[in-house]
Amino acid sequence: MKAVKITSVLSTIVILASMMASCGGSGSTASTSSESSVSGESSAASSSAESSAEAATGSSDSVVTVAYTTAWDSLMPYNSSSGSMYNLEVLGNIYDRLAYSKLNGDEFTPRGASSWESADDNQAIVFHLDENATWSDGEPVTASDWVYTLKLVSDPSFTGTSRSCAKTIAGTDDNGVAIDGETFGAEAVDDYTLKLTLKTAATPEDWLLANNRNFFVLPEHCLTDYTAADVINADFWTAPVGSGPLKFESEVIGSELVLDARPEYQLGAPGFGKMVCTVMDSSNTMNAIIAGDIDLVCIGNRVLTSNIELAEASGLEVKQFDQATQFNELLINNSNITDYRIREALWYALDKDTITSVMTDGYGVPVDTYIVPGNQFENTDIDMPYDPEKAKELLAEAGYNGETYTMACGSSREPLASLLQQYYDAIGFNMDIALVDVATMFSGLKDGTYDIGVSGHSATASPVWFCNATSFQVLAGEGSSSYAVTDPKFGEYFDQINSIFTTEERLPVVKEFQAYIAEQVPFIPLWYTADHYIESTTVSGVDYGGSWMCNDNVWDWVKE
Amino acid sequence: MLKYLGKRILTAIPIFFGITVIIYVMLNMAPGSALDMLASSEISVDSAAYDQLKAQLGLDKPVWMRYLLWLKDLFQLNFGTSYRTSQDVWTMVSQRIGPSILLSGTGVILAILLALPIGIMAAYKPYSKWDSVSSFFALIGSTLPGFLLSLLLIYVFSIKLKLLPTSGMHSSGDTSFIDLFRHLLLPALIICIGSMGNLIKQTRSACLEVLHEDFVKTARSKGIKEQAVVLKHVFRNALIPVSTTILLQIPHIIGGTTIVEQIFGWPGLGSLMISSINNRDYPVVMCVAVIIAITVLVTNILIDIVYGFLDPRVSYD
Repeated sequence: MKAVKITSVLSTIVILASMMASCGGSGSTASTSSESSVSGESSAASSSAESSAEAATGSSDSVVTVAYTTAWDSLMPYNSSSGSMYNLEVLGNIYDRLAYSKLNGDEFTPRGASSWESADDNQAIVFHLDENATWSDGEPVTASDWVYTLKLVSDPSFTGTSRSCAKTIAGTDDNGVAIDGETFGAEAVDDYTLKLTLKTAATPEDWLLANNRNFFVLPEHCLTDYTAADVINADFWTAPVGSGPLKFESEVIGSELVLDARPEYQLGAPGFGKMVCTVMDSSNTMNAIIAGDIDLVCIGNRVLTSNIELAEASGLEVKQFDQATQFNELLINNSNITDYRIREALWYALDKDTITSVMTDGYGVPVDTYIVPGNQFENTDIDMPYDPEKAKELLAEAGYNGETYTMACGSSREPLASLLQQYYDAIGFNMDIALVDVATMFSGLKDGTYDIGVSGHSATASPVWFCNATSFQVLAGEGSSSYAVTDPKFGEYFDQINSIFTTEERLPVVKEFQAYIAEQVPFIPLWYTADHYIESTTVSGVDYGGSWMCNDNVWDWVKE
Repeated sequence: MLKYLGKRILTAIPIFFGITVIIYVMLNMAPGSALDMLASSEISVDSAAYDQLKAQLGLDKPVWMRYLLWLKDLFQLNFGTSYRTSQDVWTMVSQRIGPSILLSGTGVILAILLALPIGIMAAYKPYSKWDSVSSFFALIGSTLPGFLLSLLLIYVFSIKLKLLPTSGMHSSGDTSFIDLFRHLLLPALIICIGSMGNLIKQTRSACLEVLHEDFVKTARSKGIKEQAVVLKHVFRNALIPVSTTILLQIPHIIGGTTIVEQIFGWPGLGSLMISSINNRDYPVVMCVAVIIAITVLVTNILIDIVYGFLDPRVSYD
């Protein structure tokens, strides 16, 4: 009896001690912190810096809370395992890019660079850097930092996941690795002039459209002690120094990230003191906005069409982007379904008007091309309407033998998959549905396990945006790490379009490219939607379109 | 007793390694790898970088070799680096242990504190209001899905009544106990309700069995107060099977409750496990699995020890 009492008392003490140990808040005991705990206690130095901006742009004690439905991964910009929009958005607050992009990339405004121009007959771009740009440790950002960044990621021994920003630079191979003996095309003309010599000529706008989103400047003075091979593993990334509008304060990895506003940011002081990025399940974001627990949801404060009524009934203002933003398509494994007639049949079998109306609650627009509807590059002559009889003829012509194919999709797209299956049943095309997660779907498309996949992408104004996406490159399904689409004509079209600089000359080629896609059907465009978003009642100055492009204009935000 | 303990520990060691082998193999049998997440990304990864990354992560080696390398690191208490965040795995996991224990521990302790008295009273006064209450909670706890209850309570308490926050562990910049308590209340309540059902049923049926034993009649006929009869004689003996159920909650405390953590954005081990599985972040999954495996094994040994204290008839010789 006495032993039981002692045991129960000891157990109680242990449990209470554990609870007390974790009562300090998730950030205070275990998180990596650059200067203070998650509790938000500011150091004297940062308090005085922030108070100088207080009178002009909102309280330095105010906190903007942004919910992320998917966690960011690495705070090293060139080592993201997901390359996701969520990660890019977070990185864009800590690190600077050359320019700020409006919705769909139609317009770029100064950011790290205050201006830019073409040089050497479009073979180079000269960026004039903002001389007021500084790192969060006070050091100035110079052209040398930008050159260092490009040289780092193009170093053959660099082990990060992405060096896509270096691919276009002269002196690198197709993979962005610097070629020994060749002149590297990034040059610091002077402290505030960066010259990028390109492999193929391009206008600054085209180059920015393709590269700005993934190109962040790194602090040379913080990283010179590391080699390209070991920089990825540097402790620096647990509390990085950036030149963005916000600076790292602390992180509970995969759950919460606290960033302090930088009043000294060259484009202006954010009108708040702190941003807390918190991971939240998507089923709870609407509740959190209505309850006032968060100010914004990541990537443009989007709201699902199914939640529009609820949002409006709760007194929130729902708006719609004036351009289509989200593209949905069927990915077809061209190595499994080799006959283009079968792929064509899959296109004609679908009543896209009905499918789009059902799946988007009437807000979507069915499309026959990947180009954003209304964009000048859109080929409106493509005419492949719903025609099940033609689909049946094409299947017969191709000698379809009743083989069963497999469509892979995530659970959220199951209703769409079921709908498509009905249309395919109607033309005698046998298809099973496999509900899998994203990694499994792409893995399966690559190794040939799955024949069709369902996916969605955020679009840009670039005439080749979708065809540069990795998803499109997976369609070869050859089971190797080579993602290239097998038909060389696609590559020829990319090169041709990318080598033309005037819209007038580009237009016919881009339209011809779309017609070729409609003829060969490597994928099936389904619909575009212009997403809805909620106008925040607590933070003003938000460019929701820019947020959709994974860059937040936090320097204009003011927490009410 | 020590000899028994020693035997149990020795038995637990191969079981532990067996668990790690099974989990590691099953993880690697799942389609897709960490690298396949890159295929759905907004960046393009060329084949050379893909191969380099594959080698860097060790994914170019056969499964058995990867497991042995992982085991070697485990003996050095090195859980490796996360594929997803490139951060030290132990740092990531250790940040989540405290919040997990806090949330699940609070929920489970609440469940025990509520379920035991309700179960005892339901057995002591069958077919009474207590019995109805116990049936109600047993039904709710056993049948109502956690996610549904979570969203329901959020709707009532956070949106309609605006009393409690919708998610998170604390408000930005506020680490007061009150703030923590407010954030903890709803998710802990969900866990409590989920755990209560089974515990109430166990307690009630164990007490019912003991209540009709001869020694209870003897105790009453000796004039012992009813309260003492119930607590010292009935409950003490009913505790033997009930303690198993209680102690088996311990792995839940450590492992976290995934759905509740996901919905409430609670930074616990459960939500970390789910996101790591989805992202094929093997090192993190293995670390959490090791922690849970050790907890379960230790709990099983603890149950045996507690039995020995509760039931004098149990001998470890």
